[in-house]
This record gives sequence, C-alpha cells and structure tokens, in this order.
Amino acid sequence: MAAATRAEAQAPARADSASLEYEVKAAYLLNFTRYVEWPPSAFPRQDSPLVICVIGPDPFRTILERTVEGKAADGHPIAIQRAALASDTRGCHMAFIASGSQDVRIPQSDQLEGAVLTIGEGRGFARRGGMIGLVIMDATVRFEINLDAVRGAGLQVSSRLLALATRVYSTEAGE
Amino acid sequence: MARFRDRPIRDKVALLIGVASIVGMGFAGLTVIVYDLITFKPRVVRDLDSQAEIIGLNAIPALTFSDPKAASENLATLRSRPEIGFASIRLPSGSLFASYARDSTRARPVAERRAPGYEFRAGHLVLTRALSSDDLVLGYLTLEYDLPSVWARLARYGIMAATVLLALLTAAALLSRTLVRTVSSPLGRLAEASRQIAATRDFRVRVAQDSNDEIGQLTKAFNEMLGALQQSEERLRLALEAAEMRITEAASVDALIEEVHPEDRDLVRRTIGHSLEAGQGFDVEFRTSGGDGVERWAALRGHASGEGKAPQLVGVLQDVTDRRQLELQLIQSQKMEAIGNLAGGIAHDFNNLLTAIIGYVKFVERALPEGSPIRDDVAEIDRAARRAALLTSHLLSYARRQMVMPTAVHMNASVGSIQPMLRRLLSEDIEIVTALDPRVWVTRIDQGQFEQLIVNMAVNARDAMPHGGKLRIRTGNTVLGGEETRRNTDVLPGEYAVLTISDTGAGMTPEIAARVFEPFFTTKPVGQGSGLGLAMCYGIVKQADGHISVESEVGRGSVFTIFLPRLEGSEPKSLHPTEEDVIPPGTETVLFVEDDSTVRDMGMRVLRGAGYEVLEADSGERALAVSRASAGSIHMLVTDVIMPGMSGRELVEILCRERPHLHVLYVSGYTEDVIVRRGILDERTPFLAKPFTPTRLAQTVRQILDGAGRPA
Repeated sequence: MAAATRAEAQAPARADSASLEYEVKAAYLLNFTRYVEWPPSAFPRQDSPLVICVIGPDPFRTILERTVEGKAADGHPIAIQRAALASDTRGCHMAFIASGSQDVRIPQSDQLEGAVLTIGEGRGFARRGGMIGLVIMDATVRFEINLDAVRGAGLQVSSRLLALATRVYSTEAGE
Repeated sequence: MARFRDRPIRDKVALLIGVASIVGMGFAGLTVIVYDLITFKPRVVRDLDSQAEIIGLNAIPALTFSDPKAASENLATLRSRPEIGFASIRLPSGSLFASYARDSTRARPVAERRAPGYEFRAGHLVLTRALSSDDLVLGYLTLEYDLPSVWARLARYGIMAATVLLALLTAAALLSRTLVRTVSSPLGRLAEASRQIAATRDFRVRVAQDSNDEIGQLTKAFNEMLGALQQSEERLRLALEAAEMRITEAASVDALIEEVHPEDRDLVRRTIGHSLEAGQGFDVEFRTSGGDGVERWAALRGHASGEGKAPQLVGVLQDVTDRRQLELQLIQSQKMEAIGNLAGGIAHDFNNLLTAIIGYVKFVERALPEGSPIRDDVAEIDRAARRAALLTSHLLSYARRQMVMPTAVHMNASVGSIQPMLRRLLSEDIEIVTALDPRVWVTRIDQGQFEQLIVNMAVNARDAMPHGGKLRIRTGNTVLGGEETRRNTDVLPGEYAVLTISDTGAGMTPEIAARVFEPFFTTKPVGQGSGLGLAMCYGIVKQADGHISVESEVGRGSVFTIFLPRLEGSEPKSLHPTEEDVIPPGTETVLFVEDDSTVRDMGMRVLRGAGYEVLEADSGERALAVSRASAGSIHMLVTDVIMPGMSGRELVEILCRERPHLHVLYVSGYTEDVIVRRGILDERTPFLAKPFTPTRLAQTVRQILDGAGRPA
C-alpha cells in the first residue's frame, strides 16, 4: 500500500525536486476529496467515479495515477481525465489547472458546468476566482481557499480544511 | 462533667445527632475514599483517553496536510486541563511533529512511547493513541497526566468531609434548637407549673398546649388532672365552708397555742400531749385569742405526729361560737323549763289546797249568822286565799303554763285594758299613739295571750327606741285576697282583723327582719333578752290561725302587722258566771272525778248542797266503774284534767261514747303543754280553773246543764 499522503514526503519536496513537489500536490488532491462535499447530483450512481481532471500540460506525469491507485473517495472510485482547456470540465469533479496552462483565464464558479472544485497553483489563483490555490511557503506546500467560489459552485468545504488554509478569501469574513 | 442522663434533653439530642452524623459520615466517607482509590486509575485512563480522542480528531487534518503549526495550536488547547503536563504528536517514523508543555518543569516527556496504550510511571499516566485516517496511521498522540499524590487526594477528601461535617453539626444544632422548642420547652413549662402549684396550691394554673403530639397529650392530661384536682379542691373547700370548717396546719404546738385564749392554753397543751403519747387523734374546744375583743370558740379535731417538742399538727378547725351560744341558750331554756315545772307543780298543788280553803271558808261564812264577829276573820282568810290564788296564777304565767283558751276578743277592748300597763312598761320619752277602728271585727284568740302579744311587741319597740320615740297601735279590718295569700302560703284568704304596732326606732336590715321570729334569735346582748319575745308572738298568732309580718327600714323604724281571722257569727255567750253570790240549785246526777280528796269533798259538798245527785271517783278508772255500775242516767261529768293513770280527756272520750248525752266540765289547776298543743281544750270545751269558789262551781255546772255549753 502506498504512503502517498504521508506528510514526511514534504522533506524531499524541499529538495526543490519537481517530481517531489508534485508527489505532495498529488497527495493533496486526494486528501482534498476527504474534506470537500459534492452535492448528491454530482454522482449519478453510488459507484459513479469521482473524476479528477488535469487541465493543460500535465506536471504529474504518472504520479497522480500512482497516488490515487486503489483509493476511493467516500465510496466513489477515483478516475483521472486530462483536458486541454479550462472550459472543458464537463464530467469533472475536481479540476487541476497547471500553472503552465495555455489558458490563463481562471474559470469562475458561475461559468462552470456542475460542481467542479477548481485547484490551481500560485498566489493569484484563489484570489482571482479559483477555489483552492496551492502555494509554496517556507519550502512547504500550503493552500489558500476562496470560500465564495467554493460555495458558488454548490460545494461544501470542511471547517478543518479551512483551519489549515494559509488564507481564506470570503466576502463574509471581510477579506 | 455531669452524667449523660442528667444532661438537658437539648444536649442529649445534639450529642446523639452529632455522634450519628460523625459515624455515618465516617462510613460514607470511607466508602467513597475506598471506591475512589479502587476506581481512580481506570477513571483517569478513561478520562485521558477521551481527551486524547478529541485532541486527535483535530490533529488528523494537520497531519494530513503536514501542518505542525496547526497541530501545536491544537495541543495548546490542553491549557484548560492543568493536570496534563506534557503532550506530543509524533510521526510514525518517531520524529516529533508537534508538542505541548504545561510549564517549564514539564518541558520534557517522562516516557517516549511509540505504540498505543498507557503506562503509569513516576506519578504520571502516559497514554498514547494512534492517529489514523483510512486505516493509515498518520502519527501518535501522547498525553502525560500528572497524578495527584495520595495525600493531596486525601486532603481533598478531608476538606470535603470537614465541610459536610460542619454542615451536619450545624444541622444538629438547629435540630436540637427545634427540639428544645417542641420538647424541652413544653416539658420545662410543665415542670414549672408543677413547682408553682406545689408552692401556691393554686390549681387554676393551666399549661398552654401548642401541639398534639405526645407532649401535647401529656400537657392535655396534665391540664385535665389539674381540672380534676381543682374540682376536688373546690368540693372540699365548699364542704368545709358548708361545715364552717377549715383545715389547719401548724408546725408546732406553740404556733397553735398563740391563737388560744390564755386561760385555755393549758388545756390544749395537755390534750395534744395526751394525743401524742397515745398516738391517737385529739378533739379539743377552746376560746380563741381574737384581737377584736369578741370571744370566739373553736373546735379543733386533728392529729399530732412527730417526736420531741415540735410535733406536726394537722386538723380541722371549726368555729363553734354559734353552737356554744345555742348550748348556753338551751341550758338557759332548760333552766327556765325546770323552774317552770317546779313552779307549775307547786301551783298545781297550791290550787288544790286553795280550792279547798276558799270552798270551806265559804261554807263557814254561810254557816255564820249575820253580824257574827268571826265573819271578818273568815273574810280575812278568804282574802288571803284569793291573794295566794293570784300568786299561783303569776307563777303559772311566769312558767308559761297558762291554759290556752281562745275566746272572742275585741282588739280595741284588749288594747284599752292593757294600755295603762304599757304606760308603766315604757319610759316617759316614748309616746303611745292609738288609732282604733270602732268597727274592727271580733276575732278569736286567748285573751291573756293576746295581751301578752301586745306587751311583747311594745317591749320590743321600746328596746328599739332607747332614746325615745312614738309607739303607734292601730286596729282595722282587711280582706286578704288571692294575691296576698299566693305570696304567702301560710295565709288563707279571708277577712281579718288587723293590729298594727309600729315604732320609730333603729329599724332592722332585711337579713335581721327575715329572722326576727326565729326562736332564740336576738340582737340584744346576752342576758338582756331571751330571744323568745317575738317568737312567742309568732306562736300565739299562728295558734290563732293568724299571720304576723314585719316591715322595717334601718333608721326609720319597724312595723309589725298582725292579722287575726274574723270570728263569724255573733259574740259567743260568756262562760264566765256573774259574780253573784248565789248558788243555783239542781237535781241532775253529776259524776265528780278528782284525785285530790279535799277538792273532791268540797265540790261534792257544794253540788250536793245545791240538790244534785253526786257520784264520786278519785281516778278515771274508778269513774268508769262507777258509771257502769250506775243504773240511772248521769247528766254531767265534772273531771280533773291531770290525774294519775287515765287522764280527764281519756275518761271523757270513753264515757261520751257510752253516754252520748253527757255534759262535761273540765277542772284543772295545772295544765301540761301537751294538752294545750293537742288542742283538747278550746272555747267550746267548758273549763273551770282552780282555785274556784263554791258559787263559781255551782253556777258553771248549772249553765252547762242549761245548755250554755255544748256537750263535749
């Protein structure tokens, strides 16, 4: 059984190795499925797969497949799709938009079809309408959350996840 | 310290409650401590485990996203559990992910555990819990709990126990106070009431009953007992009061002696001395040394007990002054009675002798020729004999042995005849005023007694007016109807002649007026009045079927009113013969019964001289024999009243049955009260008092035979 989500995987991430960084990020993607709740309509059947879409050039190569292999999210098997455009997120539950994507436009929650959790890289992602933005702080992968965007897509995010976010964008919180 | 059972109930209760509390507390406390000690460790482990679960739940996301800062913040919430000294989260590799130390003394862990479970080490409980997500162990949470020392725990129990004990003792004190209010105080009141009653003998005391429990019942029973005692005491008091007695107690003979008249002290001392020696009760009467100068007599009946010179005396003391006075009066009246008997006896014999003397003197006088010088001598004997007769009459009067012989009496005449005598009787400063109604009815009473009545009333009035005044005598008529007689059951309705005698003297109180007719009742000093004067008046009036009443007002005087029934019909014929010195003749047969031979001989000689056939007998029995032996008719019986054997009355009763047409004449020089009281003789019974003259005898016999007197 792989230990992809172990926090100790961070230590090699600090070695500034790209592959290590994306191993952590892959684990994060899997972990986010445990703290985010999709509306029941997002899954046609009980055993419908939770689809993770990677938009643009794929930085994970095979890492993501290895990470989610044999894993399930609340009973749903996890499937991975790849797409070229951010607008093409039909059938996705989670969309990772790599920072090297051609499409610089960040998909807003009201432009998405269905409940799709958008995850991007860099500080501007969450601030500019993305839902979870992965950032590197002190050589560690952290994340920011745009709560308005998450809620706008009809998703629920756990308070425990919010507590771990380095920054939460929310009109309610006044940020 | 007093013994427990002698202590007040309040203390006992407080003590008992205190002891019970302490013992109960001891057991309860011990149980709690033992239970606590036994269950302490498992409880601490459970407690710490649940704490670890909560901390762990929040630590998992931090581990998941590799956020030691968040994990440390999470651990920092253990500040609210000061007994947890150290906590740490380690990664499965053993490296420290986050830690917490309560203070600098616990900066380091006491044990480094790598597996879930717990252990007690050096006063600490170290508990490790695996933090896992989806069966994947993310790390280990270790909590170190600083166990309190046993002494610290015991001290905590001690404080608790002391607090509870204090509360219990306060409760015990409060309870005992309540008990004092509900038990001790009522009992105290009962005891106080008992003491008070013992001291004052006042059984009217009652104890307030303010509950219905046992003590309330006791109080109620106590009060009921007091009620019964009070009633009993009251009965005894009333009984003693009715008997005019009082219970007396004296600590010594000397204490009693002080109340005794000096002259009687020796007697009392001797009596009590004998009583002590004999061991019996004593009964002594003595005069008291009352300070008011009035001599009172007391009777003391009691018991002396005790040794030596200070015997205890308990007895019943009775004022017997009245009884003593009554005894004196009784002695006086017995003396009077004895003198009366003596005087009456002498008078009786004298009358017989005087009858003979007067009779024979008459014979001598008749036998003497006119002008005989002896006639004067004989007349002198006759006068002397008559004076002697008057003397016996006075003697009888004094002894109140006079024959009661009611006759028709005209009040005005009696008052008129007695008035000169009243004038002599009353002092000069008393004015006699008479108002006599000429139409006053004739009444029926013994003439002598009626006059005696007036005299007695006058004497009474005189004594009421020592400084002079007015004595009013008034006569009149009245008709008493139903109204007056209903108020006085003694009086019958009818026509009455009324004699009113009033004075302007001192008067009487209603109390005295009510008793004024009682025998021996007198307000006069001893020796100055017999107490019989008004009683005699009462008797005289009652004997005449009349009524006497008195109205009096202190300072204004008294009014005595005498009602005598009107005598119906005309004035009866007088039996008194005219003093004509003529002996009327007769031829009838007369039986003369007389035990005194001189009187009998004289009488026979008179009657035979007048021409009567005379049979004689010296007793009632002999007279019966003579009558039965006589074949011819006997027209008249002349008999003495008092004779040895059969009395005159008995003889008359028998003879009148045998000879229905017999005329009867009683002769007597002496009459017994018994005869008068039995009413043998009334105005219809012909009676001749000794001494009588031959003429008087002959005339009376003739009148009766001629029909002036009816047959007996």
